[in-house]
Amino acid sequence: MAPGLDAKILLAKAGRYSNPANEADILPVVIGDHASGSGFGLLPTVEIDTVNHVFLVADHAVGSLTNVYVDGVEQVSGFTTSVSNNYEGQGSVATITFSSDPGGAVTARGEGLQDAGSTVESWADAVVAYLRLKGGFKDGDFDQTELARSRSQSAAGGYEMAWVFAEERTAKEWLTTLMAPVLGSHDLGADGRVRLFVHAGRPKVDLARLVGHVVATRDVKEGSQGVHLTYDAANLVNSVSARWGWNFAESKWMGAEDNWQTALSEKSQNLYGEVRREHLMKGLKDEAAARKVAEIILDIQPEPVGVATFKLEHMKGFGWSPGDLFGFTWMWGPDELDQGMVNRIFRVEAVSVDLARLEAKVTASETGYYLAGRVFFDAAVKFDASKRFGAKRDLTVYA
Amino acid sequence: MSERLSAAFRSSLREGKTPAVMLWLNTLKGTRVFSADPLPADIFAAQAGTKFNAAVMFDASVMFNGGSLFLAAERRALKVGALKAGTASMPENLVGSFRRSSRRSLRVVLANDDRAITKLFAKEPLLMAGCQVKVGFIGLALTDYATVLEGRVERVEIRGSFEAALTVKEV
Repeated sequence: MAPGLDAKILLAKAGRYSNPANEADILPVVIGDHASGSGFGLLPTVEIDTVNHVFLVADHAVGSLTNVYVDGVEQVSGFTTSVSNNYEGQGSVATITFSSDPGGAVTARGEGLQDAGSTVESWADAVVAYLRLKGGFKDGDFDQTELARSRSQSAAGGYEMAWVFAEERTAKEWLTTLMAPVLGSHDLGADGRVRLFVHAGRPKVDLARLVGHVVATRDVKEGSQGVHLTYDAANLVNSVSARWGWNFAESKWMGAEDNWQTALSEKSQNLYGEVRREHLMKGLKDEAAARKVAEIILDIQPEPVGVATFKLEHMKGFGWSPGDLFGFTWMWGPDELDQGMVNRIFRVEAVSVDLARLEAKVTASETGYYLAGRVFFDAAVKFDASKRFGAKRDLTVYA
Repeated sequence: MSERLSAAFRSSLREGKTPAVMLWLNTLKGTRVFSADPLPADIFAAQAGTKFNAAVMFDASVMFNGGSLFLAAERRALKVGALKAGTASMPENLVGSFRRSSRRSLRVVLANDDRAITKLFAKEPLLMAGCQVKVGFIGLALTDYATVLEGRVERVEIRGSFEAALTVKEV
C-alpha cells in the first residue's frame, strides 16, 4: 500500500540553518534540466546564511550549476558553487557562496536531481522521483507495468520536466498537478499501488480493460428511459491556446501559441465554428512536446463527446473503476448508421455504489469505437467489394 | 430584448394573452423551428425563399434560398425553461457575483419519441448551432414576434426514450 495520498508532503525550511534570511522560506527541490533551453531555466534561490552569503539552489545534490545571476545579470566571479554541499551538517544541498553580499536577487541555471549519474527529467520518472524523495514513496508503491508504459510514452512524446518544487501539497494534489500538463492521470490499482498513465498520442482503447456489456433495456434501472446522454460544448475543442516553459524564478510563461490546429480541427471548425481551449503546460519546456500534447487534445475532441449517466441494477458495475471500458447498447442513442447505439465502447469516468439499493450509478464517456465482429475467410464472405474487410460491426446483444 | 415591439405584440400583452415561444435553429443544413405552441400561420410563407422564376439566374452569383434552407417548423417543444441570467450560486456567493459575468441561457425540452432528434443529432451538427429564441402570442404574424435571445446550442441531452433537450446560451 502506497503512503497516504492525502498526507501533505512537507519540505524543509531555511530555519534549519543558523543564519537564514527568512526562517520560513521553503528549501526547493529541483527536477530536470534547467541549464539549457530558451530562457526557461532560471532557478530561484534561498539565502540560508546572511553572514557568509550562502544561497541554496536545491535541497539535494544536483547535476550542475552552470550560470549564476544577480538581478538577472550573469556573474563571472566573486562566488563559488557546490553541487553537493553538506552545509552545517544538514545533508547535501546545492549552494552558491558569494565572497560579499551580492545585493540583489540571486538566480541560477543548472541540472537538477540525479539518478545514477543522469539528470531525472523524463516525465514519469520525474513524478516518481519527487514522491520518492519527499513523499516517502518507494519503488514498490508504483505499479511497475504501468510505470514502464508511462516511461516509454514519456520518451515517445518527448515529455521532459523542468520543475521547481517549493510548495507543500498532498501527494494526491501533486499527482494531479504534475500529470495534467501532459494529459496524464493516476489512480490506485486493486493492489493499492499508484498507477501512472501518460500518453504520447490519443489513448488507445485497451480491450484488456473491457469489463462487460451494458444493454440498457436489460441492465439499466428503468431500462432505456433510465439513460441520460449529454453532449456539451465544453467537451468540444478544435483550437488550442497553449502555454509552456514556466520560468519559476520570474513566474511567467516563456512559450505561447494562441491557435494551434490540425487538419482534423479545421474540419471540426467547418462544422461547429472555432472552439478554443487554453491548456497550461507548466514544467514542460520543449515546444515540440507542447505541440504533441495540443495535437492529442485536438485529436480527442474535434467531435462532440457524449457522456452517459445511468444506474445499473443487480450489483452490476460494483467492481468497475475509472478507465474501465464496456460495450453499451442503447437503441435511443445517436448513430451514423441509424441503428441506435449497439456495442459502442464507453469509458467509465465515475462509479458511485449505493449499497442500500445494490445499485451502481455510472458516468461514462464515448470513446468513438465500437466492438467489432471478426470476419472469417470462408465462402460466406466474398471479396467483391460488397463488404468492407474487417469492418463488420458487432451487432450481437450480449447476455 | 433590444428590438422594438410591434403594436400587435403590445396589444396582445395588454390583453393578457398567453405567450408563444419559438426556437429557431440554424445548422449547416438549414433552419428548423421548434415550438410548444401553434406556429404563426405565415411562417412558411415568410420563409419561402428564392423562387424559380426568371428573376434569379443560375450563375452561382446567388446561393439557392439564400444559403439557408427552411427545413421544418414543428410543435415539438414540450417545455421551454426560464431565460436565466446571473450567478447560480447566489445568495451564498455575493463576492463571486462581482467577478463573474453570466450569459443568458434557456433550456428547451423536445419530444423525441420518434427518435427524430436522435437522428438529427447523428446527421447534423446541432452542438454550437446558431439559434434564436422568439417570443410572441398565438395568432400573431411572424413579423410581430420579438427575438429575446441570439446564441448557440451549448448542450444537447438525449434523455431516456422519449425526450431530448437543447440548452442555448447567448453569444
